[in-house]
Amino acid sequence: MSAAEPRATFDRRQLLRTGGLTLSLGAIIAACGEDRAGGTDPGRVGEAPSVTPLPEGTVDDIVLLRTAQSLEHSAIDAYAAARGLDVLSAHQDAIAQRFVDDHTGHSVALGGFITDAGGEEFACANPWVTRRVITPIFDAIDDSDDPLRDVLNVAHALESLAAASYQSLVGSLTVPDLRMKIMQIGADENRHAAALAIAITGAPDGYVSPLLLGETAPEEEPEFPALWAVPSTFGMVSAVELVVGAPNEEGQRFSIDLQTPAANTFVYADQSC
Amino acid sequence: MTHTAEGDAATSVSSTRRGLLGASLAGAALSLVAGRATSASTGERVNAADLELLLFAQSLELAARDLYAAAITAGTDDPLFGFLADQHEAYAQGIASFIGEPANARDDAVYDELEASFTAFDRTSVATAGYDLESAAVATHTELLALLENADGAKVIASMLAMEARHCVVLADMSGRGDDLNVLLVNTADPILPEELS
Repeated sequence: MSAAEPRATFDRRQLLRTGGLTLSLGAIIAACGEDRAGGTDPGRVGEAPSVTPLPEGTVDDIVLLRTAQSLEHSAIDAYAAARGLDVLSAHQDAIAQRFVDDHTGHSVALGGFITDAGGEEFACANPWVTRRVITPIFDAIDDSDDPLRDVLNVAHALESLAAASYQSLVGSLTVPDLRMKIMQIGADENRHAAALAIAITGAPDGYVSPLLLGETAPEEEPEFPALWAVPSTFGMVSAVELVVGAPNEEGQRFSIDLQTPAANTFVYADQSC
Repeated sequence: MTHTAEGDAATSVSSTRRGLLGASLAGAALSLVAGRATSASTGERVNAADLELLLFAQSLELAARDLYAAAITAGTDDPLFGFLADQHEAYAQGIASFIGEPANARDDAVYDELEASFTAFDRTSVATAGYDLESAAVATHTELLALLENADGAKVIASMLAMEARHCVVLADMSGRGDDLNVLLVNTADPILPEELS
């Protein structure tokens, strides 16, 4: 700056001082303001389009029934994938067809319950279950060292999941008549699971968990979950463990816990096939 | 139930239950009990009608327990029958803990009607009788779900029903009918219900 130039009105210190004063006054004015309008959304930068909020996910009887119907179709799709692997004997394939027929009948019945309740049926597989459960399972079976073992275990796991799911829905449904109808189907799924357990484990070893007969559990955890027609005294709604596929480099097989329906698996009113 | 004799059993039970449940003294007692039975999970009070249903389910479980025990006493000492007796004892106690009342009243009409089929001295006959009993229990508990208003009571019944359906499959296999998919998978039994409820 030369001597000829006019002296600057503010030096840096003054600028900071003035800025601080302005901010302080702004805060005081803001605190004292009334009837201030404006959104409560977080601040936005730039020209991004406004966000459309997701609809509220109300869980009512219709949503629960639609979810149950979707699980029936998930099972039907899984059986189609399993039978497509061409590892089942003719006898086993006939039993699989019988289970598919039962699940198809369950879906039709559920569709009727849904429409009677004023809802719209959901006659297709549960999207979350397909993406997070069925697809990964069959991806793991692709390079299995024993695809037949895996297919039978998958069938048992899905039937057990269905059985547990219906039982869990009893406490959520608000209409007693629907609880009854749901458990009519739930009893069928329990029978499917029990029949598969005996087929896989053999009779009589596959009848009842040895723990229920007063025997002690084996010291070493089995590589595949042991299966029994009657695994517990009361029906369980806990996760169903499934192990499939070939061991990886570390000797570990693909393992997944199948969970009964929850917020991420419910088929809400705004979802369609 | 599938057989004529068992259909008669249901009729017999109906008349017995009617007599029991029709007694005004019993009704008054049930009302008193209902006043203090409260669901532990939701705090929802168990009303008198629900309590009556749950006590009935409990009496049926005790009859089932005693029928398997009778088979063992008669000489058909398969560990599975002892196990099934324990299962039904557990169900009766499960209901007892839910309603806060002891499990000590067996349904004598059901027991008396079916006792002969459980004391047949051979495993296959007892398994067949057990299959019919478990099938009827599943049908009965399914029916009760439509009548019970208390959601927690319904959950207790559903958790019993689920395993009784599995008992049917085991007993079908034990009785030599494991290859018959209809016997394994389909329940054609009629529920056993007091006449007032059927």
